[in-house]
Amino acid sequence: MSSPMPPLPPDFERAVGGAIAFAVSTVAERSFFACVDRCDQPDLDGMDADWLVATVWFEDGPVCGSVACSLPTDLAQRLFDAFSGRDPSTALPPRHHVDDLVGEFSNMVCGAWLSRCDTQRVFRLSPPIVRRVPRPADESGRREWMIVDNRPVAIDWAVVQAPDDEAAAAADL
Amino acid sequence: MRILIVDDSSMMRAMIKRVVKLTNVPVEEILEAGDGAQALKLLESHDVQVLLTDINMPVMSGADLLRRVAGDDRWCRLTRVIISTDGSEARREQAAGLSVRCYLQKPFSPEVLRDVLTDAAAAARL
Repeated sequence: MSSPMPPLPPDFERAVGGAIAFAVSTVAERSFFACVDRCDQPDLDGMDADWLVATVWFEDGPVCGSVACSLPTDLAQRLFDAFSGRDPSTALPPRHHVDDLVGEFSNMVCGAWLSRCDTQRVFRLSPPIVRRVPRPADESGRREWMIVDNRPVAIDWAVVQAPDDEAAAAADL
Repeated sequence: MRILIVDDSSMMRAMIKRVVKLTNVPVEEILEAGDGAQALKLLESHDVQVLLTDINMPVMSGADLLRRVAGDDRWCRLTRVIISTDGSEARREQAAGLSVRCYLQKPFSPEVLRDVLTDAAAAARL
């Protein structure tokens, strides 16, 4: 989301962070057979890989937002191999296949998170938009860092909702 | 048994295809479609026993596809399975009115899909 977000209650923010971390663990472990840990801001100096950032927007009436997963390209490649069963000794897959994979990763994280957060809403999810960047930019200010197969993954999230729904959503979480 | 996988992500279709093969359930052919409209065309031209479909797709959603299938007697014996990232109760309740055999939330375990396909294979033999 490019528009500035209103402040959210600290409890809500903590609960969302925890729910997102759980969603990443579920997706990475079940679909990609990867090991996942939560972590603080990792040291990115010395990392020479580009990053793939996949953003999914969601919306249901007064509640909308986004989830953006940023992965180093070498991790994305490794996850691609785990997901597709590709033999790493064979030729590299086309770039758009790896982009598609990272988009699906974000899609599943967003879906798993929303399904856990609010089971009564039917969110509409946008198709993932994937881009390659030198570093994950901190756009929203709300970010979770995870370690997936010993590589850092950033998850930026944003939630915008009408005031009446805010308290209810915080209670649900 | 012929299976149709409907998902706008080619990676997800490939993954589901791989999982289907891992189940060891005998499958004659696996067809693929990127949206509900493509899926309808394939259903018109092929004898399909199992439909595995996503919900959120461009052009024609999985829900619209399932409504069309439910309203046509030609596909009354077709086993319908939703595979979606959205596992909310509200979405599952919506799906309950679409004559769906089961609802799998991504990520799902291969064992669950194996059980669904085994049932569908048995039904196809009847």
